[in-house]
Amino acid sequence: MENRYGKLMERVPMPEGLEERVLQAARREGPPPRDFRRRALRGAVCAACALALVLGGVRLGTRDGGGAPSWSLGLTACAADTGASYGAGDNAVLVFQEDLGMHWSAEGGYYTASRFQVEGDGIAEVALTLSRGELYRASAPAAAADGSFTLPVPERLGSSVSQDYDPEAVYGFWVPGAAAEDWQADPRAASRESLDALDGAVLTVEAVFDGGAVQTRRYTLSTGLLREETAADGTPVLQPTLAGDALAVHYGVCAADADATRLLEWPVAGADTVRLSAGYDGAALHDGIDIPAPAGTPVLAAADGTVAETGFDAERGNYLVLDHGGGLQTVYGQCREILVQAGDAVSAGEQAAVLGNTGMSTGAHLHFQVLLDREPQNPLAYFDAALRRALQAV
Amino acid sequence: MQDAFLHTAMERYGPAVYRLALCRLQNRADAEDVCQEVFLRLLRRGDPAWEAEHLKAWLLRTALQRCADVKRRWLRHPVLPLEEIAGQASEEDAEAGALWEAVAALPAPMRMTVHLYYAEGYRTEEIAAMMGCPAATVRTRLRRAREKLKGLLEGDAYGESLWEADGTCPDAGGT
Repeated sequence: MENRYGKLMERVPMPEGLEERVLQAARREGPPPRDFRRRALRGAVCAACALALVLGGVRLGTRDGGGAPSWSLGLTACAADTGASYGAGDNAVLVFQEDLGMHWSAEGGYYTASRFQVEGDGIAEVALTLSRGELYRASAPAAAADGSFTLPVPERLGSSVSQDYDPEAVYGFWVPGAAAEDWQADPRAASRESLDALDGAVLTVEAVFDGGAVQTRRYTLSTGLLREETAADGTPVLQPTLAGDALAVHYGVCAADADATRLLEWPVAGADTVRLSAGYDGAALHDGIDIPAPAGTPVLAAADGTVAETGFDAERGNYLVLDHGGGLQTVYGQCREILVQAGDAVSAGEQAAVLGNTGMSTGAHLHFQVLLDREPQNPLAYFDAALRRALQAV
Repeated sequence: MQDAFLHTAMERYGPAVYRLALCRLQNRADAEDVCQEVFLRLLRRGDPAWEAEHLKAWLLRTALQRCADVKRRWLRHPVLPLEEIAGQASEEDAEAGALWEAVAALPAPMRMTVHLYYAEGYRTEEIAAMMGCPAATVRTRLRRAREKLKGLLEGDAYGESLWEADGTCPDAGGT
């Protein structure tokens, strides 16, 4: 076999001094996240495939209007391996990555790697309730003299617990009935299967503040595939995604804040395949999704709103922008025809345009994008878990 | 422990990351920056006990993404002469230089596809997962790249058997 390019590249060495330069940069940056994995617990099961987690995004917080005292209560996802915590991503959905290899099964149950912390100001006491499964409280790793870490068995809390507030406390989900033999055969599949028991569960977080005020937040959990993207500031962000997505290499739990999360309806009836915008270096969901369907198919408004803009440009073809209030907008591109005019009111599920093939398009499809305060969002985060499961990336 | 981990990772995969960045960016300083950034990112994630191949694929995918960011500042770039990066000269240099220049003249998506396929030996499905595009697209890019390279190298003495003889070219469309 003649592979002259391969041979040519073999002659290209790494520059001298580059390694030293990286080592120095690493030293300046400080030590890496502690590696708890050195001495795993009895019964510890490490999934073979585990990319380390990171989530980025907006801090959760209450949006109290008026002059009410600004009590704040929110959850942050807590990386099971590094302990780093992350706020909610697009559409106030908090994402926990499960396949970190930091979960284990013991005592007939499964301690998931999906962990969170409660954050807020002035909280005296927290009460957590999970409608299905149980909660556990993770224990701090203990360091041994040789620099290795051991992880003590976490404390099981049952399905409902009330504790004095500790900002450092890390809670996790516990799922009953994980059979040890499944874990030996295929730990990754067993972990996913166990985790699915949490799908549809509701986590209620109640905080009692100093002075007696009470605030409650409810989170609806769903489990599914995740993909990793890179935020503008360079941090990796996990996004909910669909079966068939080439970049869907993770699995985990999405927790949607029941008060802050807004859900959209599917804009093309009958179409259940989606092309995730495919740039070649890392497709970004934020560019929008393409929904292939025959030309002439009705394009439906994804939520109640008013028509903010209609028009034509070379890229998006005939396009339509709907405003749903609160800074949320949806964009429909590549349409054959727009059936509404700026200022019109539309209701969810109402036909607003006709699907087509205009603009930069090769084949009939709807280009669908979600904007929040003009910033592009991952549209998939705005569809509920049942709908996401009915869709397939192609 | 941190130094040892980084040293091992860089020794094993540093050249692959560097070459990919070099091929993409055609600039040594930028390629070194990307290399540093990629390995620092690895470090920030701790030491995820990855299988070697998974780790390498992660590094190369991260490098592709970092390169895309650098690239936005460089709309046009001059081709980097081969003798500047490949050390001592050999008698095949004229030939290799022409090939390197021809590859460098390809559009970036094609160039990265060719590099990952021929220099790193990835299968088209693996390249597709790394670049986030369908495998059929990767095969099309490879086929078009081969046609282009043949055109670019035609007329000089080196063009006749670039890759055609290797028998490993993927068929477009075949899965």
